[in-house]
Formats: sequence, structure tokens, C-alpha cells
Amino acid sequence: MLLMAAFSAVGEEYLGREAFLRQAFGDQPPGMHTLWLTEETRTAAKAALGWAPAALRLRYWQAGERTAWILEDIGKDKPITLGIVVVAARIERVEVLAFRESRGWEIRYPFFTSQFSGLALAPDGYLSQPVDGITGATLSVRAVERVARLALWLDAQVRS
Amino acid sequence: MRRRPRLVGLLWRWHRRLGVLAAFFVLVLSATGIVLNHTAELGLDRRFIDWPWVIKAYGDDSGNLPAFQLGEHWLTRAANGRVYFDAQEVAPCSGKLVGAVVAGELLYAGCAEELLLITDSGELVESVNASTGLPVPLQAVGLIESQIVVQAGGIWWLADLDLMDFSHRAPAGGAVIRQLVPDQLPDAMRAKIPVPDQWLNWERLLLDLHSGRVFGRVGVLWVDGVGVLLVGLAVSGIAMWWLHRRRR
Repeated sequence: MLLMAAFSAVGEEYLGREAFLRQAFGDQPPGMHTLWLTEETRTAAKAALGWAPAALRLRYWQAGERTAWILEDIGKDKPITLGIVVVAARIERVEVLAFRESRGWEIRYPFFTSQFSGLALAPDGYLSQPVDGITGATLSVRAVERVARLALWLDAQVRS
Repeated sequence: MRRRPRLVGLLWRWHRRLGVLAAFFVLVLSATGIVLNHTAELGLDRRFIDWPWVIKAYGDDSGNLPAFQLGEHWLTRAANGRVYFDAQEVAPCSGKLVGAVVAGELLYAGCAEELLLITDSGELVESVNASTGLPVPLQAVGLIESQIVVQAGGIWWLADLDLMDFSHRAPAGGAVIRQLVPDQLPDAMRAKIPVPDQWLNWERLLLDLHSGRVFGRVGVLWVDGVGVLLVGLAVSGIAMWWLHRRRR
């Protein structure tokens, strides 16, 4: 019974929404905004990044040039929830809020996430500098890169 | 002068007890570790597990697809972990499908770890989970008049999906909470949902056994404890060797 009950509890939440927003904005985070992804926006995202999220509605928080995004992408089988803070079109912080795969969780550690700090979106839709991967976590690493590119692109859309 | 033999005796007794306790876990960790070192040669990532009870324990419940009928449409969660709107795939949904309701123009599918908002044409509007404030694990989804309510920890919470606020309890007593009763997906609809590919391979099962993740968070902490136990064995072994050497 223990075995049966425990299998489903493999996923882990590392950081809650409120804690992430406090990291991004301090003790008084701004109100939440909603971004609807129209067909036109999705087509533009696919053209710029090669992919667009499945959801029609995304949430973000903004204060001046700073935006914070909670986004998801699938690593191998299951979604990874990421929090990304963008300041003046450059990534300030990447946090893994929840990870549900059975391997690749090493992406949560600062030795990996800190590589994204200061990166911007290059004209070709990729990050301005390459990010070192992690052996055995290739799909999770790719998911973080994809979401980081998406956050930068979305940041440009909401601030333009 | 008689202190040292007593200390060696104590260390020896505990070293033996810890050794017996650790033996089983050392065997499991060593065996899984050695096999995992040769994943590619043994093709573990290409060999799939066909034991129904193991696959079912991982959440794959192919033989039983509880579904909710919403007007003319059906919502179900297939064995591949995706929610289907009739035969159309909508999105992954973590955990068992615990409820579904229609409110306004949207359909709401509640899985244990996630609430999906779906249009009446089967498009995903949004996925709400613990990271966006949803109380989990969800036990049920219902309606008080046209207000969405979700149940977690035995408590019904009002779901304000504009503000993503789930902090207010549903009014106790008096309010009628409407819920749909799960049903079996009609055979004709089930036949349209693709059978998932095999997905549980030996590499994943062995990795989960090796790390303890097969037992969730408790398993990981248990393996941590085994690590501490092995450190204790190493330290007591070195101490006994050192004290014995000094005696000679």
C-alpha cells in the first residue's frame, strides 16, 4: 500500500508563488496582470521562438521595467513550473517552482539557474549566450531555455 | 586504562547492528547503481515494464477511465496523463481527475494537482496549480450557483480565477454545492482516445528505486538516512581499527 500511495508523490514543489514574487518585487508585489494569447500573438511567438505555449491566457506581474512570469513547459513527460524575472529586457532570475519528472531536478540549483542572469533575447530568437547543460537532464535544460526565451519575448510584448 | 576495551566493545556492538541494518539497502543501492551505470549497454531506456500493478501504481489507469459528461461533451483523463475533451487532447493534468463543471463559457477540469480551464471547443485557456495559488491536492470541484468551488483538505474554497485567489472558505451550511458524478466513458468515445505508448522503462524504475523517489519524499529522506548510516559505519570502523592498532 505504501508503494502504491507513494508512486504518485514523485513531483515536488520547491517555491510557492508568494515567495517567488517576494524575491522578485520585495514585500509588496504589484497586482497580477493577464495576457491573452490571440491567434496572432501565438503565430508571432512561433515565428520568433519556434514554439508557443498551449494556454490561451498567461499571468504576469509588472512594476516599471521589471516583469515576473510563472510559466510551464514539459521536460520529458511532465510540466516544469518556472518563475522568471525580467528587468529591462534581460533575465534577472530563474527559479524552478515545481518539478514533476523523476530525473533532471538538478536544474533547480543556482549553479544552473544563475547562468541565465543577464541574458537577453538575440535577434534569432535564442538566448544571447549559450547555457551549459547538465548530463542526464538534457530535456529539462531545454525546457528551461525555451521558457526563458518565451519570458523575454513576452516581456517585450507587454512593455512595447 | 579499562576504558578503551569498553569503548571498542561498544563500537563493535553498534558497528555490527548498523551493518546488519544497512546490508539490505547497500545491496539494493549497489545493485541498482551498477545496473544503471550500464543503461546504454543493457538498453534499459528501451525496455518497457509490462507489469500492470507497477504501471497502475505510477498513475496509469488505462483500464478504467472515469469521465464527466458536460452537456454533449465528455471530459476524461487518459492513461497518458492528458485530459481529453471528447477525443481531442487538451493538456497534461497532474493527478487523478477528481471533478469537472461548466460555468459560463468555460469548462473546469480538476485533477489532484491542477485545475484546467477549457473553452467549449476544447482549447486550454489556463492551467492553475499550486504555483499559482491552487490549494492541493484537490479532492473535488463544484459550483455554488455560478461560483466555482474547489475542495482540498476536506474544506471547500471559493475559486476567484480572475485574481487567482483561493483563500476564502465557501459559506458553511445553507449553500448547495453542485457536483457532477463521474461516469464511465462510453465505449465509442474510449475507442477514439489513442492508446498511450509504452512509457515506463526499466531505467526510470531503477532510478526511482536508487534515489528512493519510488516512495516519494519519504523515500528520498530514507535514502538520505541510509547515507548517514553508512557514514556512521565508516567512522565506527575507522575508530575501531585505530583503537585496536593503539592497543597492539
